[in-house]
Amino acid sequence: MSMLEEIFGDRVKKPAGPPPSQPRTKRPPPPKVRARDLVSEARNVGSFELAGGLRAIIEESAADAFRALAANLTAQAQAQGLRSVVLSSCYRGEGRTTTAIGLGLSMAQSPGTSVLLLEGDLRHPKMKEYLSLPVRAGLDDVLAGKADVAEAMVFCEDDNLAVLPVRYARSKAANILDSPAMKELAPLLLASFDHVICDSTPALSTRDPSVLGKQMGGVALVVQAAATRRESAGRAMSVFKQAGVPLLGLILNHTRFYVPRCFRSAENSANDDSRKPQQA
Amino acid sequence: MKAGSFKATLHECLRVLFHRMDCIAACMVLSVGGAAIYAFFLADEEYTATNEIYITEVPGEDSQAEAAGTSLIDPLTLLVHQMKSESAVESLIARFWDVAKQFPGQAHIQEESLAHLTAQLEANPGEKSVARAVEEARENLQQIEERDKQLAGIEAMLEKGPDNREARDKRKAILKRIRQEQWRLEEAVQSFRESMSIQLSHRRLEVSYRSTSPELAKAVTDEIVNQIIERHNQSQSAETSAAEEVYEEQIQYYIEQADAARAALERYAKEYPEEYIIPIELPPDPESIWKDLDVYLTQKNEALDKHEDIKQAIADVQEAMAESSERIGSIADELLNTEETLVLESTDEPPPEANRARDQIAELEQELSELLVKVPEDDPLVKRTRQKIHLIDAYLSKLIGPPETIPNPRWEQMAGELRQEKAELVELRGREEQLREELLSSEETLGEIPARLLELEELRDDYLQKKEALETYRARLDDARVGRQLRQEEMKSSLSVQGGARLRYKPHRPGKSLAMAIGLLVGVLASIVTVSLVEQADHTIRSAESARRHLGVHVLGTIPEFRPVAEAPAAARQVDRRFVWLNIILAAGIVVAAVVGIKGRDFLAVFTAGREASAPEAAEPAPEEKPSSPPPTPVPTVRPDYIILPEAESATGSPAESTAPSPTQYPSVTLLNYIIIEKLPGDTG
Repeated sequence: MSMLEEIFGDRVKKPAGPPPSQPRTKRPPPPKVRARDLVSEARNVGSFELAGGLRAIIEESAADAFRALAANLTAQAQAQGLRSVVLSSCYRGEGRTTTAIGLGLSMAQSPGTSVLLLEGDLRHPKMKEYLSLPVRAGLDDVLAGKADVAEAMVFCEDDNLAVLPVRYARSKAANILDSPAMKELAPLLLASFDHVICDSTPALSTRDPSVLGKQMGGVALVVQAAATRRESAGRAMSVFKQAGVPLLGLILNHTRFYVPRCFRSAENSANDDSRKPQQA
Repeated sequence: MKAGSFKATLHECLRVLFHRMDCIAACMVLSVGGAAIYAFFLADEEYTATNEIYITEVPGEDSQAEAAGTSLIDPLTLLVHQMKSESAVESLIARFWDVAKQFPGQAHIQEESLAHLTAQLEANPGEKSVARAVEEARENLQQIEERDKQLAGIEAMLEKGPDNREARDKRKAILKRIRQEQWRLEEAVQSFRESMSIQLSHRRLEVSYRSTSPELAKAVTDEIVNQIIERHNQSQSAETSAAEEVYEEQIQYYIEQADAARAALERYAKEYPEEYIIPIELPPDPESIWKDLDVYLTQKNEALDKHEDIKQAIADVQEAMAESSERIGSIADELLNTEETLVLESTDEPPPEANRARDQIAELEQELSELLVKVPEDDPLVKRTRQKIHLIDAYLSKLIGPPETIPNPRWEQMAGELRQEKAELVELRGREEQLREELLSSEETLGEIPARLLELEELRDDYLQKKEALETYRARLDDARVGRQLRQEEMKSSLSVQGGARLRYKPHRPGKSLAMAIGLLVGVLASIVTVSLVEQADHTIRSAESARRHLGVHVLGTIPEFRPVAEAPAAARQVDRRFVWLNIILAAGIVVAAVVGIKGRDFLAVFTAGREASAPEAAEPAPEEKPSSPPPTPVPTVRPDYIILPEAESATGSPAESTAPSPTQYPSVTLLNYIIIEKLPGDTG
């Protein structure tokens, strides 16, 4: 037990420090900050191209899956009275950022819906690489007070998708995210966009997702199929539970189809088809 | 929902099958590969050649026959024959010497091999290796002679001086060498016996020989069969002639005995030519003797009857005589009582004087009788009295006159009877005497008869016995002669063989196919075990259901795998194909391994065929070099029984047609070498 405490001590203690806020069941209260329409304020308007043909892949092969995910997520969030989701995972490299981008693209496709893709990963920012964005200012700058949000955001007019990337990696990300600036920024973002998708960090090694989750709403755990262990997922879930962040659900990423299609039964094929890459 | 759950299970199984293909592939490759290696290097597929000897004439009980069958086999000789058979297979000519030279101290084997090799050398004089082998065999024989001489010398030395330590050591060393070689030979014979089996079922001797080479198995089996038949015939003919000799001796003896008996009878007949005995002349047909003997016997019986009759007659006569004498007695008595003459009674009254005279006479007679009591006869008183009586009587007669008498007829009759009786008696006496004489002579005769009869009967019995024996032995002689003829005729058909040895393919150790099958099965089982273990140990979240089940969390969505960076756009679809290809490659690998394992050498022979010209023969583990693919030549039959295959034939076995093991394919010589060296342990170096 002592060993366990030693191992998990910090994780157990830290969420225990701030008392867990009561789960939100209602629509969040209107932001106290002065209302700003960030969408209309957007200055960096333009299209961005996903690196490595990612956009094409997502739209071609995984569009259905992301659409279904978006629908599910929206329904789930609305059931809990939330409009934003923080994507976290157990470990690095489980496809968090990609999922966030895909989800953002998919959500933004419905007309009249504004979606913000917020990069909450201050430690290893990748969004600008993925989206090959010309970043002059990022979330880190905004939180440090060096830049305005509107300057940092990149807005893609075609997709109703705004991206708020991070320019440089920062240490002490949790502290930064826990700062009053962030607490000030979050309601503004939530108020400005219909949906905020926040890409965060691994849940087992950092407490960023909890911090972010508390400010933004719910958390969804990205899990790599056939790679993430149940125990890890369970631990991450317990971390969120202790932090008092509502868990919207799991996102099973990277699923594979082991059985060739000719062997799949009709039922299974039907089940798979929702997840199956769409044939070009 | 049953069907659904079944479908789900099926899907899960398929998922596991494809998902854990790496585990399955590893297991299958390991086990099938191991089996292939085993099949390729270790598994012997042995061939059993079986031939059957049909026994048309069982010499005795089955067990005896079996004993005879097994005793017919001299293992040492058969070993030599085995070597010969081996060398009969063309590609194995050198084998004979290879085996024979392992026993340089066995004179028998060396002689055999010398003869064999010399024949080989004559057949093809250019063969240097054979010439060398001949030389070696000669040297070996010389060495054996020297060794024997040396041994004899040492023995002689030891006899003179038993304390010669050096000689003793030398002798010990030599004897040790000999003994060691003997042991090795025994082991070789033992292993040969193990691979050979002779079993007797009802009138069928089944001979089989196991070998890795079908030709070898056939050749050795046929050789064993030939040996058995040859030896059987030899022993049978020996048996037959021995039996004949015994029969002949016995026949001779009984003929002599019978002749002696006949001579004895004849001699007897000559020595005792009694007339009342039927002269015994032994005719050439002894039956007449017995007829005569019967006649004689009847006559003897007649004589006996006659004797009895005489006796009876004597008794009758005696009885009659007794009766007659009795009658004579009675008649005589009666005659005495009867008056000869009858006195006629006078009718007139006699005078009184007469009565008085009579009274006086009566008185006088009274007196006389009284006197006679008192006095003797010649007393004067008696005389006087008598005179008185006489006087008175005379007076009386004067007085009365003489009485009138008539002869008494009764008396007459009786006298006649008496006379007659007397005459009869006399006659009877005479008769009796005569009969007595006859009886005497008859008794004499009868006294002689029994002794002779006994003698004759004995002779007859003896004769009969001997005659019977004679006949018996004549019959037996005939039987023996007929049997000998029959045996000579059936000599070859007593044990008959129908055709050559039949070859039976029978893997004794787990054969190649079996090894592959076992490998496959083990692979499947190991795969199942491994996969289930891996599945158990795998705690990763694989599907929405597993997440729901284990974590109780709703899964918002599943996103298929796609390559985010620098990958072909269709990569996501190729996920399936990879596993399909893996499957195909795995199956192909297993098939190839199986083919190589089962038909390894032939399979490889196709590839090594090209190297044949350059490859020297010394290449040790390389399979026997074979011509690439010549047209199938007709099978030359050197002996009618076994087929010697052309070397080329085995090379035609391509992997495609090598599914069924055919007797025309045999393993390479190197493998055979290995087996034979293994079989004859002790000289593996």
